[in-house]
Amino acid sequence: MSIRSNLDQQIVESRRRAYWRWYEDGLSEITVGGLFLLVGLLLSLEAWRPNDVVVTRFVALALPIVIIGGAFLVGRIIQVFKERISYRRTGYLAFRDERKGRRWVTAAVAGLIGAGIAAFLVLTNVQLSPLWYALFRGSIVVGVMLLIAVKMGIRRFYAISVLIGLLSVATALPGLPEAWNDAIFYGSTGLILVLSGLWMFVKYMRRPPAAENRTENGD
Amino acid sequence: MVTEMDTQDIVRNVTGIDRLLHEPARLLIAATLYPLEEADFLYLANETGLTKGNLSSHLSKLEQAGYVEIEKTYRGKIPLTVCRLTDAGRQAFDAYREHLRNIAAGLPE
Repeated sequence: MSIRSNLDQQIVESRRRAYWRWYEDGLSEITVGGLFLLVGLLLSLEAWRPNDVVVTRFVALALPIVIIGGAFLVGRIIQVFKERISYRRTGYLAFRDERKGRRWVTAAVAGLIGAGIAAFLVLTNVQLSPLWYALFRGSIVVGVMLLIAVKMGIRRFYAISVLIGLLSVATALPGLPEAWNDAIFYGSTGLILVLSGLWMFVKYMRRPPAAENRTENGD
Repeated sequence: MVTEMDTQDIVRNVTGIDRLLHEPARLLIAATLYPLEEADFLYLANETGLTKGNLSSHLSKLEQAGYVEIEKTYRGKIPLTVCRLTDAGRQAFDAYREHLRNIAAGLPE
């Protein structure tokens, strides 16, 4: 039975190594973190000049563009970075989408849950207190980070989850001006991701490409 | 207690194994490509630890058997030799794993 389980283990290990290879250059974190940082900066602008009509209108226009455009473009931007930097150093890989048919189902379920929560809040006229709102917002981001950490076995995402969790608790504490709450949360989350990504990127670039070091014996 | 019949089954199972995939380097290549849509030559070389010559030779054998598809292409301006398991390769690998399971199940404790 161990022959079989060794081979299965090899496949699991291959998948984990592929995830690890994908994230080892830090480019995904830098790109996603940059998007969070941009959202944080726009919200800071609004918090800084709340009565400035031009600023308010600019943020109202720019924020959806950044969020929706970013969601669509982030994958493409990561690809472009990887094409220029990573593929020539550590090789190209593309993940097999084993959930082709389930992707729309997942999106539909997520949409229904979101619409359900929104409908509940509107119909019952419930206003989340700043504390609950901050914790709810933080738990979504932490949940996504933990999912990546567990599914892909990338340990630094646990640390990132803890930092973002602490950040969401800190922004939930009273005393922080409400207008700055989102700006600080999204901006700091972006900063954490960018710094983590940069740290990985520097390590990645300092390491010589493995293929250039290999001898004919495969060492 | 293994009967003579069991032994014959085990031998039949062993002799029926896919010898092309049974070679360790090719098995490693297949296991590396299995969870992926595709990967390039450099990635496979890094992951398997095989030399370029060795990897190339094993990939050619897998390609000749129809288990692997090799395509020379570009991602942006980077030329890549992209390799992917074909449906036949995936089925052969699944069958190989199933075969191993049957052999292992037939072995005495």
